Amino acid sequence: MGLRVGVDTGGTFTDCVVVDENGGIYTFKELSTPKDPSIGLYNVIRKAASFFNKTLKEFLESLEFFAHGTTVATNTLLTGTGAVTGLILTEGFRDTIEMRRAHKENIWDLRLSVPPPLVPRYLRLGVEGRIDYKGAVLKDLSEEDVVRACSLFKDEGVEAVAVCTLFSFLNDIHEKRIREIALKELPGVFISISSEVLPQIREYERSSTTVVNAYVGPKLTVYLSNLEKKLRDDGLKHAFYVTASNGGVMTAETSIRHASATLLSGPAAGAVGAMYFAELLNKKNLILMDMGGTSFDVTLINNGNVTLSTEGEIAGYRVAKPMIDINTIGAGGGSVAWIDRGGMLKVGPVSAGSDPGPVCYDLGGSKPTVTDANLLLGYLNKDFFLGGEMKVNAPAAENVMHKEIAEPLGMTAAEAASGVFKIINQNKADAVKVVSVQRGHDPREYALVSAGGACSIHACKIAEEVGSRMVIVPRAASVFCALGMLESDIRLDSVKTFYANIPGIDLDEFNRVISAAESKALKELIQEGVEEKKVTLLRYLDMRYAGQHHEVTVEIPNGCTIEKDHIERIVDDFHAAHEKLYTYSTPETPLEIMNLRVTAVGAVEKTALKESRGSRGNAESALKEYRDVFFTGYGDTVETGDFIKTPVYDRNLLKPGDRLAGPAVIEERITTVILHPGWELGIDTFGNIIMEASV
Amino acid sequence: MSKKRKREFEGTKDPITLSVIYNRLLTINQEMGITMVNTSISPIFAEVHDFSCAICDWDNRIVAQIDGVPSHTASAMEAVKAVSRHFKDDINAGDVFVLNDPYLGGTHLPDITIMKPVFYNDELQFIAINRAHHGDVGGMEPGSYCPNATELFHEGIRIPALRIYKNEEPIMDVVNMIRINTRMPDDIWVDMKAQVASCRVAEKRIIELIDKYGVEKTRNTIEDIHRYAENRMRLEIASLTDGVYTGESFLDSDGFTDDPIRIKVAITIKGDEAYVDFAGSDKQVTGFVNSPMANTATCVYVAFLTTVTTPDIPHNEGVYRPIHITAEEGLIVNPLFPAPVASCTLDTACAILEACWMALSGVLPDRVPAGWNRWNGPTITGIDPRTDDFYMMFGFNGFGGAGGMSGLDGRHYIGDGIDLGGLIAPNIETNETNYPHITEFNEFTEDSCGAGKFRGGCGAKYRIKLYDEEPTLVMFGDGKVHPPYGLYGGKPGSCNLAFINEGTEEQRELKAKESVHLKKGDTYTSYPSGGGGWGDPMERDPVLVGEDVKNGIISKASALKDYGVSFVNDSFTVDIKETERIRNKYKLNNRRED
Repeated sequence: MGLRVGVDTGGTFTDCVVVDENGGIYTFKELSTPKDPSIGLYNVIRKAASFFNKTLKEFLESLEFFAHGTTVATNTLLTGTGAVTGLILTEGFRDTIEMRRAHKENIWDLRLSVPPPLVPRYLRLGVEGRIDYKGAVLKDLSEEDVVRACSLFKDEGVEAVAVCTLFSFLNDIHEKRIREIALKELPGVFISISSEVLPQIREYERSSTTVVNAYVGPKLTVYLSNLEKKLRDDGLKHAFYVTASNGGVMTAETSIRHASATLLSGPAAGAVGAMYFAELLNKKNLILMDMGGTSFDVTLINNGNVTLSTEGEIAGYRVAKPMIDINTIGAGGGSVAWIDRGGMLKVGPVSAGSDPGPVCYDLGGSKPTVTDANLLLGYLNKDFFLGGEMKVNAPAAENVMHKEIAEPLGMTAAEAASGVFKIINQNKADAVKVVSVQRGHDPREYALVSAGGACSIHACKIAEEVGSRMVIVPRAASVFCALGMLESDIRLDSVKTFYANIPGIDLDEFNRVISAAESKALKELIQEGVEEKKVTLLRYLDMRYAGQHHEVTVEIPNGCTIEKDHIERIVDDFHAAHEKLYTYSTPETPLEIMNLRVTAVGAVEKTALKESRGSRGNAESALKEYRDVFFTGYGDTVETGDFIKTPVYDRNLLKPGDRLAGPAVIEERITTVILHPGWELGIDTFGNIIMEASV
Repeated sequence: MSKKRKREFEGTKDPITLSVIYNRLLTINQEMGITMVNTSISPIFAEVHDFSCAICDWDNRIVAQIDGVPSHTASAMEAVKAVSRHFKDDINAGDVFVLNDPYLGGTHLPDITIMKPVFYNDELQFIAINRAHHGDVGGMEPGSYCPNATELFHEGIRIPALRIYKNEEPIMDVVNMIRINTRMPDDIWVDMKAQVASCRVAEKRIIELIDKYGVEKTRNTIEDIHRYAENRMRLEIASLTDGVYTGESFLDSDGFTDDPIRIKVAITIKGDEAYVDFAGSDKQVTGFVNSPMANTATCVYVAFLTTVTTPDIPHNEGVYRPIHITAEEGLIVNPLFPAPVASCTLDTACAILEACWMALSGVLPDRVPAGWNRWNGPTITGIDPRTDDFYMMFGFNGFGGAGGMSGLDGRHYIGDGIDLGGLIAPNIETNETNYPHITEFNEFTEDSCGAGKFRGGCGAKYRIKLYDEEPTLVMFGDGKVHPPYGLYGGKPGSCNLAFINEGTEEQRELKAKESVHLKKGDTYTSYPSGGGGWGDPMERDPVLVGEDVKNGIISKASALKDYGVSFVNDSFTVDIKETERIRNKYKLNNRRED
């Protein structure tokens, strides 16, 4: 078995994780190069190659698995730098994507504006042709209209074409014909048709997704095909995979066709990393928290699996592709603390980001941030910031905290910082509750996994707020996403609209539809280079009570013909899921099936992590120093909190079996862990930090 | 610390707990909304979101209301007060109450309010409220908008404050009494259960909150939240120049005569208080546009919350304290029982909001928008030939545009003013799956937007062809005569317009308020108004005018006439020299007229 590599391109850093034959993990980091992300990718793999004393060629040749998380699609959307895109649609409905279903996210904000449509109105062209709600053709397609549209597109320099006609999810005859004509009229143009991108009812969501796909597609194509070619030329022999929003990986070629499915490439991989930990540590219920400079991402893993949501919004555009249910709020280290006119202390959503960043960075930031508060409270080490690579200005942070928050509220700077800390923790806890409590999961039955350099400063407090009793800080916390990629299975989701009622479902028809969807999914996965024996097919149904408008997705029995008994089980599962989500179920109400979902999973060999034996812990050898750190809930400090002389440990010197009781600080170059009072810490045999509530 | 600065933070003893508990209540409130959307069966809730959730405290004061349509703002308090007046001490854990009567704390009859008291330590702490617009509550017309009604009794079933659950179990006698009085007895009951479910979610979460903070701290913090919000509203009002600001708007008619109905408002700003008086408004009318006081007050609050304050202010009882509203009894804005009211939450609400916005534009020119669209769409009912079942569809497509405002064009296709974009249009595909019609078009109407330096948004023309045998169509809109107003030299938007069988020999223009019987194959077409423009269109950036022409938002004729923008030959390239010449000439003429 050779080396396995995952490279994740992030906003600031490009992270690389290499796992060797023995399960040893090696991590590397380089600055990202947003103009051409492949430069950063090459820089980091060169660094890795030289660590292994190999030339780039030898290194690439020795790889047996290469997975890449890319932000090319996301950045293209965020910066509005996608292709000049044209949209062909049913005549009479050219404004669907700009209408946005007349919805305004915050009705009280008259000034709230929406991002401009990805296709301007003059490039949205209707063509004659109509299909009805049963999929019957009411009016034939006017091929002349299509040719005319293409000719206008040519004049306007259109680089990508999206096609979305009404009811194409039931009958794709018009969309397919439009594509044929467009391919002929506009050679070389990137084309996406909605019946392939998302064959599902609701034309706003479907056309928006198809447009996003076409808009980001050309850039992703150029990036991935060039990169793959270069890697091949330089020696890469085995498959080159890209991570997708659903937490799986796909070959570069497939990700190009489903460009909109790569929008959450990075964070989705992190969730998969957490799933792997769930398996490794035999903890089936985890909540992954990842904190960056501007945002806080939360993902729930239930019984070893992530939950997928069927749609979301990215950069203000609706994308209805299956994606890992990640709840993101604007609460990162750069979140700004402020007092509103009525005297309420608030943190975020405005963020100083990394430029100008927190006041203590001395890069021109002038508003107190969460990082400034953490520094003031002694959680961050002013002499060892980023492992000492960065100088920080602690007095400036304190001045600003005093002037902006403490003085107006009549408190000390430390109390103000402690207030900021408390509020940001509560905001984060609410985000955790959204993916747990609001989805019917009790966070007390979950362990929190804390990723991202600063997340573990807050983790114990968030855990207390949601009632969770365990926090895990994985060994490679700061390169969590890259590690996650190595654990991703090849995963293709498909959806087929299938209407049926229970009671009354035609089982023969149902099994026929399942079998057709499964053979299609199987075929596609084999095209991805997966051996048939490694394929698992999972089935889900989107179901609801008759008359409802929103579905609950229920997993149904796999690998068998569906019989009457199965249906009873499916019905019971649905009622239970509904009860859990919405506090009630009504077993007397008939059910409707809306969609069949089939997910084809090609298992990828998992890394066997190296386990070291535990020593009879003597943590004293890891003790670096003592410093004053602010805690509440300790000794005399229960109500107001105070600075306490606190031991600081070097994480790299802590060994399996070592145990500590809070309060304590555990530091390494990137990550700081605060063990709050009332918590105990141990190191497991994989080198992960496990914190447990002691009371 | 300066004196002014100090004053700003008065009333907040523990800003950190305040922030924590307030945010928690908002999250709970949002969760109520999610539960309702996902479990209700009427499209009006699940797709369109025509409901609102709120949490009241032990003293019948709203503490949190973030989720829901603006037309329900604040008025839920009146319903809770009615329950407490009627039931006094006989309010227990496990109870649920219901109410819809507009003269007893409701808005209009279709809005059924569900209230669930939340107890802790055997003491009433909070009341979770869900107010939702049901498809049909009886009355003369299916859908319960009845243009021919002359008294409340014609508009459907009246429900005073009633207990509908005891010990967590429904009281089926009450439920059945309500069900038998609607045309959709099954839907109404499932949807009321969804309302109860959303209140139960709130109950569960509130108890968890009190578990954590205890009764005393929670209650003290709630008082702080009210004070905090009151303080913020006072600060905003105090920053306005003292004076009397007046506004006026007209409803087209009440559906019985063609006489316009005047709504007049005078807003007096004095220190940190505002006095809003409707003297000079017309008397109540025969038709269904009379606005009971709770609805009128809501519109005033919406006007303030959208312009005087910023969007992050809490919506609670405290915020309303500095606003004093008066209206003589018997006016259109404070009618006497039993005047019919069904259309007041749309038509009259829009007109009241417009009058208040116009008044406030005198003191806040940069924050007040030009006029938004008024309601146009119908209800359509009949027997669906595919299922032989009764169906009822609200016209939630073919929306109008928003008004322009300083620095910002109005949004296209956003709906009427009082809903402020809170209603979500269903997809054409779901509509055609649910109801027996084919949609022919639903896209922006060229030149419907009011011209301005910042123009209004377009309305969207919409046509469907019905294929059931005997559909009934009820119009209950307005703004067919009075278009959305322009501000500071901006032009008004287009007027609402609708037809049966437009473009055929059987073409018939629809009145804004009427009920008509149709036959299979008839078409309904609507042209909702675009929003009004803000500022002189001759000052609009010619590049933006060029883009609008290229995108078919306005015509070249309008570009020339309204904006003074000329194009090079047949292209979309602005002829800069010619445009300058036209605009200079316009300025010169204007100066002469001065």
